[in-house]
Amino acid sequence: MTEEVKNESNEEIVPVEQGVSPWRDMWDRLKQNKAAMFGLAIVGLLVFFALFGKYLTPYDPLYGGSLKESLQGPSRAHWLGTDEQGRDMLSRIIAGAAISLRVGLSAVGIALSCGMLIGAVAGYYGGKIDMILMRLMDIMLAFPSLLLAIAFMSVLGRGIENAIIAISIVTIPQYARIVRGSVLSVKENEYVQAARAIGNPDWRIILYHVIPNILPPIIVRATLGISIAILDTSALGFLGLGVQPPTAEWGTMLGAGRAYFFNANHLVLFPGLAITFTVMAFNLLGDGLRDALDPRIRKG
Amino acid sequence: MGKYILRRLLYLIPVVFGVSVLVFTVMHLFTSDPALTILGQHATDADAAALREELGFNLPLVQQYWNFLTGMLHGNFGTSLFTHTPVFTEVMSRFPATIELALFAIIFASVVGVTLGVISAVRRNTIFDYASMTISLMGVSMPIFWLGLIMIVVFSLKLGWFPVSGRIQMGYDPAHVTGLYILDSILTGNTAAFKSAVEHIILPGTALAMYSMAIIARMTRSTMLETLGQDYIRTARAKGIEERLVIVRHALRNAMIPIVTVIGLQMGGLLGGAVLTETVFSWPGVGSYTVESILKSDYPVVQGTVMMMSIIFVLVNLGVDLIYSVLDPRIKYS
Repeated sequence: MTEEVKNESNEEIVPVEQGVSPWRDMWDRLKQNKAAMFGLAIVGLLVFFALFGKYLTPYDPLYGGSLKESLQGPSRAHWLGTDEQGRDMLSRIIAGAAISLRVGLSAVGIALSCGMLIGAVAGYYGGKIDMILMRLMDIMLAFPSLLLAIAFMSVLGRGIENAIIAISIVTIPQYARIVRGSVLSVKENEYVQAARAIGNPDWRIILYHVIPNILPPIIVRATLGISIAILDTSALGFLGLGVQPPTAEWGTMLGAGRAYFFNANHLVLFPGLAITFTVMAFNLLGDGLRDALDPRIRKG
Repeated sequence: MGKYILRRLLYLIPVVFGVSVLVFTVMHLFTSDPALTILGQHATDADAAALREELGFNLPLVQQYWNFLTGMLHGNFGTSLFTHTPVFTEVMSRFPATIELALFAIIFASVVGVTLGVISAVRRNTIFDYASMTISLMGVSMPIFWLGLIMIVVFSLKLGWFPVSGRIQMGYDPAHVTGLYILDSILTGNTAAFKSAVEHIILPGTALAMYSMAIIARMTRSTMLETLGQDYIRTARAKGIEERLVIVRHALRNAMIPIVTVIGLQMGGLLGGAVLTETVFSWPGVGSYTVESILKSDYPVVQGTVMMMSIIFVLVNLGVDLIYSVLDPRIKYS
């Protein structure tokens, strides 16, 4: 869309493109990416299951089974079969969507908030504060993240809240590093200096002028971070250290089904597929966002 | 270069010190009483107090940390609450199994990942590209423990190609040289042991490698695409050099730095992933030992293994950094 604009001397008419907000620009680009849209559709479906799952599940996902019906393969009555306690697998997998989304979003939300605070303070102030905070982050990065999460779970105890805390803590340094790097690149920009010159306090400059300008890489990292959080939660559940039965968490279901998987493969197959598709959806969406936000691959 | 290595080694001291403080603090502030873990909840106060004194748990925290730190410097990472064996001995006896698994996985991931990435880049937007990138997408999305279980069902139970679990068939252990069974069986010329060790490592090694393979393939593709667009590639083609040589000698060699970076980063991740793979395949390594200790609440073992694993992780990362200088002489260490 163009409009005609006259210059100061009214001598010539210059066609200029009307401004489009960066977010609209990103969305337009994202819409072109079929893989990202496929990912977004799966995420949408998951959100739908998470919000309305309790109205959709054909059976009670927690206590709806009887031992007489245990370990049945897929049938018309139970599309994905039943588990070792005779509970309907489809109902449990639908119920698991809410748990996975909750853990993924909460863990990334907590890690991102803490990481953003640490990274922004370190990058903005620099000097000794930066050195101390980043060395602390280095120490946390000196552990394989899953191993550190397992160690935290061993002392915090099992359960969904502790799984969220453990996964958040181990991923804080990754966000802190990205935010710090981005803050360093924007803090000398003129708009930040102007905000400082008119007497804005540091917290206001960081919150209103620095952070909004470093959001793109953080959004991409957070989207991909959700998939990693879901994978890590399922790993903790599988090892028996995460969300505890009878809660229908996919990794915990896989761990419980492992004992029966020689004669009831579906106990392992379907929760694994649910995890794979969920993680794949967030990966596709994250990759699509990265491409849409990366100025180097913008066309025209 | 020598100065750089020395500086990096000195830098490890505060990091390892910080790691020790973190591990010790977490293990001592949040865990339940180790004396009650051993004796059970019905132990008398007198018995629990006596055991605390015997194990040194009654000392002030600072004193306990000092003992932990000085012990560690002497190679003493604590003693198991249940088996009373030193953690260091237990970890070192299992360490070759984990390293063998991780090495197999990283070699597999690098060879397959780089190949897939190069094919994708060279045959961009063809069926080969889509197939390679779909495999990569699945690799980063599948939980490795699930993949391991599916592999057991398909390749062990249904097809009978590979054993379900373990590291080698009973009675086939090769003579000890390095502790790495495949290498030891080659060094001692023991073909039966070699065959058994390879058969046992294929499934867990491949399951562990999948995630890293996918990351390496994605990185190789994007770096190769960037490199293939450079002027020197056009020049090489204009000079009439065979396309295969242009890709391998001119493009791939220049794309290797970021690829090696990713391979190095994956090496550390494999140590974490080994915890899951070893559990699924009953692989007798450090990872499965850590999980067993956590499930038994054997805190000194958890503390010792986490500490040792993180030191190994830091050293692996340092090693990767040093390899860069060999690969890329443009990198200057000051």
